[in-house]
Amino acid sequence: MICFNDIYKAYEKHVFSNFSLCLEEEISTALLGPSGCGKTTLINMLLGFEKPDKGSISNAKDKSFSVVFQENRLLEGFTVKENAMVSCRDENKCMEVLEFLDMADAADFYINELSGGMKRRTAIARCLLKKADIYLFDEPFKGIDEALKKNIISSMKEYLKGRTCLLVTHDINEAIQMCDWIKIMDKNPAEIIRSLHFSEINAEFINNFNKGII
Amino acid sequence: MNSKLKKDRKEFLTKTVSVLIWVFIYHVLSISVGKSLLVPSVYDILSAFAGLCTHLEFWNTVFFSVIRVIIGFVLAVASGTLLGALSYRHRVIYNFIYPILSVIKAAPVASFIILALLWIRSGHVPAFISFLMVLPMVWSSVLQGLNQTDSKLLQMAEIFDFSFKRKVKMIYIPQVIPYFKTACITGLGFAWKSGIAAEVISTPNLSIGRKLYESKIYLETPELFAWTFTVIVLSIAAEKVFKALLNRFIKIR
Repeated sequence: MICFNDIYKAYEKHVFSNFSLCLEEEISTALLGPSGCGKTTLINMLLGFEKPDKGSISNAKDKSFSVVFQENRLLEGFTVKENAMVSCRDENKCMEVLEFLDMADAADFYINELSGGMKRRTAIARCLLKKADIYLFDEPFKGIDEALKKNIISSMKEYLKGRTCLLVTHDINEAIQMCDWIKIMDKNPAEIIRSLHFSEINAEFINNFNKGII
Repeated sequence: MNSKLKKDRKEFLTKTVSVLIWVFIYHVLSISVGKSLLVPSVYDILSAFAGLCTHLEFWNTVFFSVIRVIIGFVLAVASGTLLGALSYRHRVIYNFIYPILSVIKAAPVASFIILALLWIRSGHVPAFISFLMVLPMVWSSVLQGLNQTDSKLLQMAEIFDFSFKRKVKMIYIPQVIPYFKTACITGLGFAWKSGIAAEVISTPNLSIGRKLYESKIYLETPELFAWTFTVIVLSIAAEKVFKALLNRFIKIR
């Protein structure tokens, strides 16, 4: 289990104060919360790009990560396939992933020829194709067509079955479609206010969440 | 006819008309001065040029001058790129190189030419001067390009276990290429100017610079203009050829 232990970190106008969170292995967890509550900072701390001012993160150092960053971070002068295959040599597997992301026809397109949603799907493909202990997704479905999103999420859920995943989003529907456990975050200070299994979430809960009642 | 072709044709026409207007202005100036020794007519220059072209010595002179400039330029591009990359990687190398390259950038070319004449054979001075003028240009451009590398892409490379070779190929080279291309094209012009200037002062055998100097000494003004015209034509041709080679071998999307 990977744990954030009593994290303290001040950044911009926001703050983590005695923040703790554990992510169970081989389970997918969604961190659901408003913008600026520190979701991306948690991912950056896991990856080692940011350090907590106080506190520690246990069991993360010896793990390998794959990630869909908040920004695409794609290599502009290269094709979709070249980007997707940066950490995978298996072309068949690459095409299989691009297929369920509806990107197989665009495999030879250069990044600057793609729409925003297609770039996002390329970043997802790159992430899925890496063999990692933990998969991190920071708002991965931003800019993806609603109709396509549903199919992509269900394919991804199948593909990632039994792997440790952390999805960061502010969309409750994405969270319950993709993850087993949903942790709801609040801000200032950042804290986990609810932790629920996706089966516990009903239409009324979704409605209340979207209205900001929760 | 597509719009790009139309635009290209218009661009070509405007450029040609501009050149013709300048030739006409020069022609008027030449007539009004009325002294071929000071401002020879266009006809005098062209006939002097045509006369030069018929001699084998002209082509030998052009060949050796081109070779000198190319040697200096190629060495400067190779060393500038290497030093730029090393300066990016190791701050201590940057700190070590910075003062000397700043001095080279700021000092007058003539001072270096005269100093170089004391140190090395006159035949080697033009290549050395071209090298010296282009080196800081390539170094600073390569370094600037590398310093602009997106740190977020480097983080991505770390997460996706990029090897050093892959990082160079997929991140650093695409990042540096636009800076490198601009530096090379500007540098080639500088290599020409400084190389010929070095030839004028060091007067090695079979060099355009020596011919320019001799034309001045013997008051052969049409020849002086013809040699200058040769330098301009060669410089433009070299830039075109070099641009085409760069676009052919270094493609960036």
